[in-house]
Amino acid sequence: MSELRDSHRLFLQSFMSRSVLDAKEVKALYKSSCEKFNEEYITQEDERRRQLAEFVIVINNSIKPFHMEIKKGFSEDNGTNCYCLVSTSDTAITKMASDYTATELEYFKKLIELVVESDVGYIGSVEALNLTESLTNTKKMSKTDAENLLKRMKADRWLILNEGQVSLSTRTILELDMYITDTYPETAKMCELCKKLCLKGQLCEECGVKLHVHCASRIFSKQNQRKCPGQRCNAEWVHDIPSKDVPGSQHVQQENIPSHGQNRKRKAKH
Amino acid sequence: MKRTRQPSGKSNQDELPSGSQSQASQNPSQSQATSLTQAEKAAAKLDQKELELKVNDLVQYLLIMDQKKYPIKKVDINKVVLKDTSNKAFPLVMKRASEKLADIFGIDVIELQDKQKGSYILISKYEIDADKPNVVWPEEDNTRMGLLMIILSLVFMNNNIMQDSEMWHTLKKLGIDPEVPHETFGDVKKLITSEFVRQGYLEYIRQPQTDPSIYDFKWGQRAKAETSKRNILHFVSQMYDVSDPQQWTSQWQDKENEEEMEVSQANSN
Ligand SMILES: [Zn+2]
Ligand SMILES: [Zn+2]
Repeated sequence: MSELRDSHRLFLQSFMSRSVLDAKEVKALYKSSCEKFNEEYITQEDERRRQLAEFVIVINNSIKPFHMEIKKGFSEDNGTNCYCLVSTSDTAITKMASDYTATELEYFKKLIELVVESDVGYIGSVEALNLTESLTNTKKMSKTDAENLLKRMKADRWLILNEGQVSLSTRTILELDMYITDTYPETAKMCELCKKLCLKGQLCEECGVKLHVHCASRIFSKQNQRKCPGQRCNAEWVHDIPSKDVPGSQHVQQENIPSHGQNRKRKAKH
Repeated sequence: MKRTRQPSGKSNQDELPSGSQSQASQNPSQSQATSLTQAEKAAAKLDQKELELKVNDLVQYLLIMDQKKYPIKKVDINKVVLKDTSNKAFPLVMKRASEKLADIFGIDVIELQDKQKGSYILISKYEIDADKPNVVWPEEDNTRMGLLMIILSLVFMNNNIMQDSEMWHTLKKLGIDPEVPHETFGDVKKLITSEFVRQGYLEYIRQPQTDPSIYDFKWGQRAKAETSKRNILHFVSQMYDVSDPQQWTSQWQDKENEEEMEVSQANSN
């Protein structure tokens, strides 16, 4: 395995200062990191992709002792890829403790709970603001506080606020998927195709199987008879399937970046 | 200023540092830990695994705390990371954490001097190219860094010290009114006199016996460690669209002096 070089370190530093990078930004960053230290940047697509994947693996091996990892994820809204430096320790949520107060973190956890328990993967903003009433922390939070907090968490890329809906960002899903699946083993659903946590997606009313929208489009785009992929279910898949040339289709070709979730070691629960 | 130090290799990464006197850190602010032998004794009470965990915890803690760019205090490290461990382990754990930050993350740990002794900042080894910072840093940071660069430049061009009234006046001429809330920076005055000061980019010192108070701006310790004057001069010449930085004779001289000092420091190490 090749050794950590200055280009790796600069690449890693950029990841530490930005929470999330999309595929294009990662490519640009890789290019500038190579060029800064006069390393060869391969223009041939496939070969470069292979090199970038190895580049990231070298970094991930080095930062593992610190419970850090560059993970690949995708937007549940449109399937586009992004990359995120996450904390893999059980206490990932404590990482946020330097930015948010205990009350704010309690609020965030309650919000996560509501989103996970909703079938659709988002809650309305009114519902989100009403959460202030259920906080147990001695320091109270007003609705205005909550409104400002939501905006701050959007700016920090933890939340998506869109048309009165509040949902969890790709960053949050990557960073906290283990927390979410451990805390809500009954309600948190995994996507039937990619086996990753699925909050926003399409649900089979018959058997409860869930699919990301872009995963559903991978399964169904060429089929006329759409049947639920759930074991022994076979119910009709009634949801709309977006056409295949949504941005998400590109991510099929980028499989060789170490992708998150698949060979993750689940910690035994105590 | 930004030495591109080669990683020292894996050699002593996994060995117990006690016994043979481990080589002194290249960072001058750490090599003065003369009580290292005593510290090593204290640390030897930790078994190797425990020590390794503490070092890794400290690396994580420093990286998280550095996100706000506030100096990190030794007392807090002892309280949060070392906890029940003897505080005498601090020099060794800090030294090993610094080595890992350098080897893996390309980051130097620097202890602040004078009144701020006992506080640490993290500085990247890599100078960011002024012409393509946007690839690397978030946009919001870029805008703030832009303002900071302007302020550092103004101080630098003013023989390294500038009175507050002059600073506000000059910024106003550049289109940033410190009295008016700015859409990106919010309270500009507060950002400059409080946030940048707390982060160690600027010093904001009250002139003695002035009423009403008059303050002076100087470069803070982080600015000195992070930003070379060459970079600033390059920035200024771009700002004023001047091709030859040597036009500013005295500032050029200042930069030359700084670089000479670096050379002599490097030789004496
Ligand atoms: Zn899926
Ligand atoms: Zn079904």
